Amino acid sequence: MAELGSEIFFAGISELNRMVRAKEATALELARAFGKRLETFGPRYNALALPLTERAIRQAKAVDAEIKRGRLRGPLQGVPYGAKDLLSVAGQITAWGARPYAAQVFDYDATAIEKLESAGAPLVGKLAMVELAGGPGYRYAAASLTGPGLNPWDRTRWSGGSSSGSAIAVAAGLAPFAIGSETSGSILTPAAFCGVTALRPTYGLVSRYGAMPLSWTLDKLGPFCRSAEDCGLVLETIAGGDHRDPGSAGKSFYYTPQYARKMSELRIGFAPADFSEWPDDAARPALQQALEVMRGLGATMVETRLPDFPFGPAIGAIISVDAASVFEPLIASGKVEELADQKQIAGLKAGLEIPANVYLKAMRVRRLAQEAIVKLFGDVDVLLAPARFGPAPKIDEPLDHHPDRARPKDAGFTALIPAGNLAGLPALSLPCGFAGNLPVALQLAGAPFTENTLLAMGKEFQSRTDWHKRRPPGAG
Amino acid sequence: MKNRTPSSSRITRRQLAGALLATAAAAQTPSAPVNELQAAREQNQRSAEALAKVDVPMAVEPAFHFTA
Repeated sequence: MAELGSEIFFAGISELNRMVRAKEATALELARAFGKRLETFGPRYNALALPLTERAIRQAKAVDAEIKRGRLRGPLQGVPYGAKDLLSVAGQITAWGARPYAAQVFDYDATAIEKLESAGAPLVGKLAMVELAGGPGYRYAAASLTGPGLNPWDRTRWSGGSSSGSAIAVAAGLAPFAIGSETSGSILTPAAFCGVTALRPTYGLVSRYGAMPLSWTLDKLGPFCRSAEDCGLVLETIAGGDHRDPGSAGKSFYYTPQYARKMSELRIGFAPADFSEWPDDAARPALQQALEVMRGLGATMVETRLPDFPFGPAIGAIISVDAASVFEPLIASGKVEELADQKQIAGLKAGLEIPANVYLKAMRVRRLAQEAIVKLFGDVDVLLAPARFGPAPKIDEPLDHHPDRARPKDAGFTALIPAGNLAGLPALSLPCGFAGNLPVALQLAGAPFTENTLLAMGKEFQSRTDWHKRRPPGAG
Repeated sequence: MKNRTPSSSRITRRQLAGALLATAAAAQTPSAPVNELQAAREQNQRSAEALAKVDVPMAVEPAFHFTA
C-alpha cells in the first residue's frame, strides 16, 4: 500500500471513508497518522487534553478486521475523530478542562462516544476546552487547564471557546472531525474564529449522557467538520433518543440532502444592520460579500426582527443558577479556587445567591421568548447573521472588554446566540471569508429539528465558495 | 508660639490603629477576587432587573422539561 500523503489531513469524511473501503488506506494507517499528528501539533495550539492514539489503534484494527470480513458500517467507519474533554471515556481522564478535576476518571463512555465507536470511528484524543465549558462566564482565554486555545490562523489570537480544541483540531488538520458542546455560543464561536464548519443541533437531538452538565435545559453536543455535508454525516451518527438523558427528544436524525427543499422555496430572515453597522471594519467586507452569495442562492431574503426579550439576562440567570447547583460541591469544598479564571470562580459563587424567583422568572420569560421565536419561523425558514461580528481577539485581551464605539440603534440579530440557545434552535456556522488573516463566519439558525434545511443551505453556499477549504499557514 | 495641629486633621491612637489594621487586612486579602464577586453580584442584579421589566402572564409556566 502506498504511503499516505499529507492531503489526508484535510480530506473530508466521505473521502477518508472511501479510501478505507477501497483499501487505499487502512483504518489503522489513518488512526496512526492522525494520532501522531494530534500528539505532535496539538500542544502547539494547546488543543490536546489527552492523547488516545493507542486506544484508537486498537479500535482501528478491529475496524480493518470487520472491513476484511465485508462488514461495512457507514460513512464514519475508519475515520478518526477527537472529542471535547467534557465527554467521558471509560477508564480515561476526563478533566472538563479544570484543575480540580484533573484526575477524574469515569467507568463508562458517553453515549456520543458509544455511538461513534459503533460506527467504527476511532477516537484519537480528548480535546482541550475552557474550564467547566465556561461556567457562568470567564474573562481570559487562559481559563483552561491546558492554557489558552491558540488559533491555527494566528497563534497570537484566541481559538474561541469553550470547545477550543475541537475547533483547532479540525482547522489545523489534526482530526477530520470533532465533537464539541454548546450551552450558549461554545460551538458557534470557536468554529467562526477557527474557520471550520460546525453544527449546534436542536436541544435534545443528541444525548448528553456522559457529558459534563453545565445547564440541563441548554446543553447540546454537536460536530465540528470540514463541510456542512460532513456535519450531516456525523449528526446522523450521534443523534437519537436516549433514556439516560432526561432532555432527550427521543428523535433520530437522517441526513437527507436528496430531499432538501429547493433554495427558491426558502425564505431567509436577516437584519441589514448585522452586515452594515455591527461588524468590525475588518470583517464587514467579507460578511457583506457572503450576504450577496446567500442572496444568489435563490432564496427570498426577508428583513426580519427578533422579538424583543432580555435574552442575555435570561440565559445568564439560567446558566448561573444551574452551574452553581451542578458545582455546589466544588464551591463548598473550596476547590473552586483552583480554577484558572477569577471571573469564573466569582460567577459560580454568586450563582448560589440568585433568588429562586429570579430563576423562575428567567425560565418563564424563556417560555414566552420561545413561543415568539417559533412564531417567527412562520414567516421565514432560516435566520441569517454573522456568527461573530469580528475575528478572533488577541490571546491576552479581556474577553469582556468591548472597544468604545457607538452602538448601532438597530439591534439586528445581535442576540441570536442567546435567543437561539434559549429556544433550543439548531444553528450552523459557515466560514465565509477573512478579516485580514483571520476567518469570519455566518450563522444560519432554523426552527427546531430543521437541521436538514440548514445543512442543505450550507452545502449550497459551500458549493459556491471555498472558504471552508482554506488551510491555516503552516498546517501542511 | 506653639504649633498646633488643627483639630479636624488630628488622628487619635484609636483611629491610627484602625487605619493600620484596615491596611493590613487589605494587604492580606487579594483585592481582585473580592471585586470579582461584587461584580458578579452586580451582574446578577442587572439581569434580575431586566427580567423584572417583562410582564409574564400568571399562566405561563417555566420552560422546564418534566414528564411523569
